[in-house]
Amino acid sequence: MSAPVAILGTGNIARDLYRKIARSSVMKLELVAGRSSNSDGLKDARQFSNEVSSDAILGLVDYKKEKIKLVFDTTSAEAHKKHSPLLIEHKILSIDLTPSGLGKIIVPSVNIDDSINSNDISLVSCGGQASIPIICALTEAARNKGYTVDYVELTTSVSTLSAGPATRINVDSYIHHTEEAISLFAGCDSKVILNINPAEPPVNMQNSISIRVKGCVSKYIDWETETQQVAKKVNEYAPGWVVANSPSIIGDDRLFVSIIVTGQGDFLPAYSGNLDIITSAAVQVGEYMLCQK
Amino acid sequence: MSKVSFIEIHDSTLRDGNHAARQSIDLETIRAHCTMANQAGLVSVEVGHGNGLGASSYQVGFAKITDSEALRAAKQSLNTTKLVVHVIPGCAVYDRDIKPAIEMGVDIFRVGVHCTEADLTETFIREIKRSGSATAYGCLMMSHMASIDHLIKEAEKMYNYGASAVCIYDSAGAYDQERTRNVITSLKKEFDMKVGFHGHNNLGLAIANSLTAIESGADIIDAAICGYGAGAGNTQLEVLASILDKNNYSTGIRIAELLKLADQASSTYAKSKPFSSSLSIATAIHGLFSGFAPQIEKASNLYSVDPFELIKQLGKKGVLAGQEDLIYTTAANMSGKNNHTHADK
Repeated sequence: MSAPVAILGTGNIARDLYRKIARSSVMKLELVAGRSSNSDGLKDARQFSNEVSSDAILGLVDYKKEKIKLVFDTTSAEAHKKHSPLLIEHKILSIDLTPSGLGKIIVPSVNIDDSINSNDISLVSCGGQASIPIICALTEAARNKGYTVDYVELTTSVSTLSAGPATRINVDSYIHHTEEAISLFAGCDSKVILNINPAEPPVNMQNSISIRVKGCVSKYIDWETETQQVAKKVNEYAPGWVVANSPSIIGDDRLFVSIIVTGQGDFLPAYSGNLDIITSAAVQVGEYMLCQK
Repeated sequence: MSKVSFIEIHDSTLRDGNHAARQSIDLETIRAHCTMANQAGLVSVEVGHGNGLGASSYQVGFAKITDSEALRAAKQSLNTTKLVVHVIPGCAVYDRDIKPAIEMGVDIFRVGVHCTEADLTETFIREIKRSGSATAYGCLMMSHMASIDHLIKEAEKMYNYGASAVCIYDSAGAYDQERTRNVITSLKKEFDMKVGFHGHNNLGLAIANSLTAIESGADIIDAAICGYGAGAGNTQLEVLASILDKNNYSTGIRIAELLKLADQASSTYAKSKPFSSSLSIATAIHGLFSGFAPQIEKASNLYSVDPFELIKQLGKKGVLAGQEDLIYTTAANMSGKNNHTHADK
């Protein structure tokens, strides 16, 4: 039997998530809670959700809360900071898709097992979800080869059309918490840059990763095994994740790799890989948690 | 040219010139330049990484010195001249970069975004204004890529957030005088706010465009000593100031002192001066950011591709400042050396 779940928020990420949950055999969408009954996102929700509410978090807490097994928070970093204590108080499992920095950080291809013992999951950010799988594999491989890794840098470019108002207001928390997560997984300093690109036709989500690899003697190291393993794991839930430029050494110590993510075109067109990578991860983690409980 | 009110000539040498210097401007240069700029009576001096605070990175180049070292050295050397920095949302972060800079005495923050993305400046402009001790200017970069109506719409957002001025950046050096006149006249007609123009000299028009901007009502003109800036360089400050002086404009600049600064720069960090090289002419014609030239050279060498063909491809894609990574990925694709890795499904 499918477990009833809820979504907080009605923006781009939420609307993509409506459609992905509709395909899940593990969960069904019971409630979507937004702020305005007139919003396009809430109107859209009626097609996918059993119930809708315009009372935001209160709509959720008031609504047969014993029935909801899991909540996806797609609102904003600031809003999630207010939601989090309420969700914990009411013992509602939650997966946060905003860069609030709260909760246990999960990247499905890396540490999905860690979600079992947590009630409060953070998916970091779209850039974090797209980059951390390859960052983990390459920093580990480089260290195994005897090199020192002391810095990782991520530049993410997304199209203007895929970056909604919440994303734009959240840029600083996006950078801060993505850096925090990359440092956690890579075990070193990190820097994150975000570009919002209005080019026409819209650009696909692209993630360029530079890893400082000290003591690297050869420019011709084969990273193919690591790259293929990561792609295989990530493609289980995000089929549009592709290594666009295979890892290679540029200059003295810069290991460079770039990842393009195209989406499945559920709500926004395929160029919005930034939506798809985090909503796909959310469904993957949600299904995993519900199957374990 | 007729005499009008005060023209604010803003010195962007130590920031835009950091592109030309491949981000290698050091503390000694900042101290010497700022001391002489102050003596010459310049209104404001901008320092920092070419892409502003917090930009030092593989992506756009590591700076030789940290932001706080640069700001401290500049502040100590300035007295009446205002200290200015550039900040780009997505690159700079308020708490990490802007807050400490306010505490170090930065007077004006130029909050820059691609010309269609003004809403990204809201948080920075509002917070800087709220601090009470600094001013924010909104900067529309790569402004050749948007229509005048669109630029007005974006400028209006910045005005509403509390920007004290809106500056139009011809980051690609792609403007001619007609475009300059139309843009500046339209903005001045629309807003009771200071308007600035930031030119690049790729097509040899930086001085002409700047004078046209002044005739069209611009209040602020960005310029650089020896034209030292990205690509083919900026509007040459000592030339602009001298023309304005000759025509009885008021700028507050002491020309004799300014020329000493130009000589000092010319014999030290600005020995090799930017000019309209074939590469920078090509980037302007294809509407690419002036600062791309060094990376285009590097990527075309690395992947053995024709730099002009690479410029053409990047222009077609509409690649923007900050997307330097795409220079390498495009060059790699052109060379056919790129291995697409897909998982076996």
